[in-house]
Amino acid sequence: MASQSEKNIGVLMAGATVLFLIGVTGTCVLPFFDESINTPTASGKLRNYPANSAEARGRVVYIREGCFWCHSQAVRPVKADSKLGPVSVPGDYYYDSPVLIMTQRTGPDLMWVGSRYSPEWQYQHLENPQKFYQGSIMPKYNYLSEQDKKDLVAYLMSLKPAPTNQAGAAGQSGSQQTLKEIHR
Amino acid sequence: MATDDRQTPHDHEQKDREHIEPHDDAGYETVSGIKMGHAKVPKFLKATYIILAMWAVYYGLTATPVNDRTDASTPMEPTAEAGAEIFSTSCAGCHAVTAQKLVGPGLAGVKERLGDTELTNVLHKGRPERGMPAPPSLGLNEAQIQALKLYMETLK
Amino acid sequence: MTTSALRPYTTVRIFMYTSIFWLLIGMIVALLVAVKSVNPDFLAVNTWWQGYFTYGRLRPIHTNTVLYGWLSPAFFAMWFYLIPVLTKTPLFSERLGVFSAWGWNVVYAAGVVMLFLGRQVPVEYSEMPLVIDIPIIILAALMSYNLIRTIMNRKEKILYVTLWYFLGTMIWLPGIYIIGNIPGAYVSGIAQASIAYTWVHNIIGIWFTPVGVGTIYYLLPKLSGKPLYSHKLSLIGFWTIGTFYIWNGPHHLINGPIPLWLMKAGIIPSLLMIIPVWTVLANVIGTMKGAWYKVSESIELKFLITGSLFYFLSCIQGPFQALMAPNAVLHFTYWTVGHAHMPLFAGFSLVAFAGYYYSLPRIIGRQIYSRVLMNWHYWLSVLGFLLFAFAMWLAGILQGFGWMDGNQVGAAFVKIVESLHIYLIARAIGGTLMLLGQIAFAWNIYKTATAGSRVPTEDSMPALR
Ligand code: HEC
Repeated sequence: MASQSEKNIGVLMAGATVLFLIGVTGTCVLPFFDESINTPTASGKLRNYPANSAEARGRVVYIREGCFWCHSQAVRPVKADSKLGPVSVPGDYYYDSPVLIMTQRTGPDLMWVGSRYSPEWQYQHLENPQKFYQGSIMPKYNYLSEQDKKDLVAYLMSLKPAPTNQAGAAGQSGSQQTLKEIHR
Repeated sequence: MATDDRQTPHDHEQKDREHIEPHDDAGYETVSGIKMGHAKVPKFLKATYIILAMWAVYYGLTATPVNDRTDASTPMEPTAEAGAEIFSTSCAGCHAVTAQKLVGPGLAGVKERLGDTELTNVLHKGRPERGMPAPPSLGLNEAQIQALKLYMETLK
Repeated sequence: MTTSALRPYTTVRIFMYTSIFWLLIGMIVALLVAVKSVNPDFLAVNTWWQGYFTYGRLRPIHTNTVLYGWLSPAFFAMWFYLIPVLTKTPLFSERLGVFSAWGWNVVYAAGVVMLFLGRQVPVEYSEMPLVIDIPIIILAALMSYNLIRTIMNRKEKILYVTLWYFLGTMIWLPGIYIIGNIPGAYVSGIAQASIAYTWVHNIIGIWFTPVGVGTIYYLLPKLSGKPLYSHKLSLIGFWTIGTFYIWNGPHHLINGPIPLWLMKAGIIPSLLMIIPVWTVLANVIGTMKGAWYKVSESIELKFLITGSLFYFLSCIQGPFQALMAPNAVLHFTYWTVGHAHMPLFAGFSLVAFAGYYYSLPRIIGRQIYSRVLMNWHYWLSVLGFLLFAFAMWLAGILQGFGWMDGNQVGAAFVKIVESLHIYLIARAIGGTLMLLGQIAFAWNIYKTATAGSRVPTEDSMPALR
């Protein structure tokens, strides 16, 4: 019953290493070769912020303050996401480093929040969320510096789907096209 | 990794163990002072292994992703109730239905204040330069805008 | 400290005592986070408090502290205790062990400071920046080296099951740390996300799980006084965990923006996890046959069996959540919070508690100070957890269906948030009970170390004397 592998730690550890590497190859290496992951979409390109732009700085604030702990950035083709805008696809995240999909939706999804409110609203809402929604459990971000708040608003406003120009529409009314499809 | 399989004084001990193992399911050997039995794999577990293996192959070949978006745009009846629902997702962030001002003005009595034409106008074009987005850009279609208008008319 | 002055198991004691300290800190922070979800203005005294104690910084401090301050060191203590015992061989280098133990604590403390400063990486359980990850990887490798050398010197040639699991983790822990923390810092897009989720799942899957199961395999026959049921089952369990768990990462992105093949590559192994889990369970039940009455007599065994049971329940929940349809309702909700605490607190932390209560008296030659406190520790932990978990599961279900009704943004979303208020309060109460249990634990261990009655000499230092 006591086979070689039970007396020989070399066999055991080699086995454990091989199994580990097979799994890592499947889930961590192969995705780099997938077409849909490797091709940025138009919306994905909107998120390719120039270094030190307000949006790029705002994204740093978003991460530093841990906004992503309560807000996801992914719209799935499921009923629970039917009003959140277009379904997000791998290419939308091409330039995200790191990707901010995350795991909780204590607050609403922010994948396309830029198309929902005005900068003015975003600013005031950051200052005092309870002014808009009494029962909101979002903390007030009035402690951020003026610069940080403006950058954060710029980042949030940048989170929107690219206009769909295949349909011939341009600008704002373009996103209407995409959004309309998913509103029933 | 070095093999630790050299001959040791323990060897004859091991031989003894191997000697009793093959025919002794109920018995046990002792490793590191811990008794170790040799029961066979229970039948229900074997069945579980087989069922799961078959499921895995079946699922791998046939599963398709969830898609609740294909049956798009079920026609919607524009009613004031439907309007109230749309309002709570798309507009309530900026507007109270009382006179209270949030980012946008309170909408109590908005119909009297603006008149029918202007209300229709705002509901289609918004006033983007002054912070009121055009509702179509919020993803609302004509039926939903009509429903919103009906709802606005109920706000006194 | 000179080598000659180091008593055997000094490393174990350092890990045990420091881990209990971090456990308390981690759970106090947890309570702050829980209260902040009920009242967002809690602790918002001035901008300083608002900034450093904002929810988004405290949350990773909680998760990291319980995972890398408490649970990992708790299992390092099990490594450093059980391996010499099982191999009947003294630790290769106690000095290196002590160095790794203090090193770990110092590095982790630096990590907490960085999290307070907002230097976080948005990858769950890997929030600490690279400057912390790299020393952690080195320390994990040093510990593995120390213990592998010990195992190579062993006097007992056959490796007991526990040692396979431990040896596996000595490859897997440094391995997953490297894969999960280093490349992710340099790549972008969904490929990065896939690495991140492989990490998130496998710090649990190929570190906490195998090291915890290995500990169960040691304590179970010891505490029940029965032979381990089946050697063959433990063999199947070990190799199937090794095969399937590492693939589980993509199941965190089910229905999400990943290609279908990757989704399936995550879902199928998630369901196949039923194989190792049921196999281990069959072994536990088989071993306990005829010894169940002992659960009421031995509090250590009660911790161990309850921990095993919760581990098993987590692994019923897990595959279920990994199916596309339930996932569409439950993903992103509070359900996940309940699920995450089940294996880590109610499962493996309980196993670790059993391990502490079992091994500490054998190391320091003193009896556990108070059985009454042990019982309080048990009941507060278990009942507190159940309240916590059911609050989260119910809240999650309500949240999921609320969103499906269309309450996904704006005031409609907040309406759902308001309706969950009561569950968040229940969670904070459950969490408070859990914390009280750990205070009883910490006090009991402190008194044991300082005032526990001496146990008969034949029991002390069993491995070496
Ligand atoms: C980003 C915030 C925002 C959102 C979202 C928003 N509004 Fe407005 N709305 C405003 C602002 C600001 C004004 C005032 C514009 C002005 O000063 O003329 C306004 C004005 C209006 C007015 C004119 C009121 C008046 O007395 O002149 C109506 C009607 C209106 N909004 C309806 C809606 C409806 C219906 C929705 C939902 C589809 C909506 N708004 C969404 C910000 C918003």
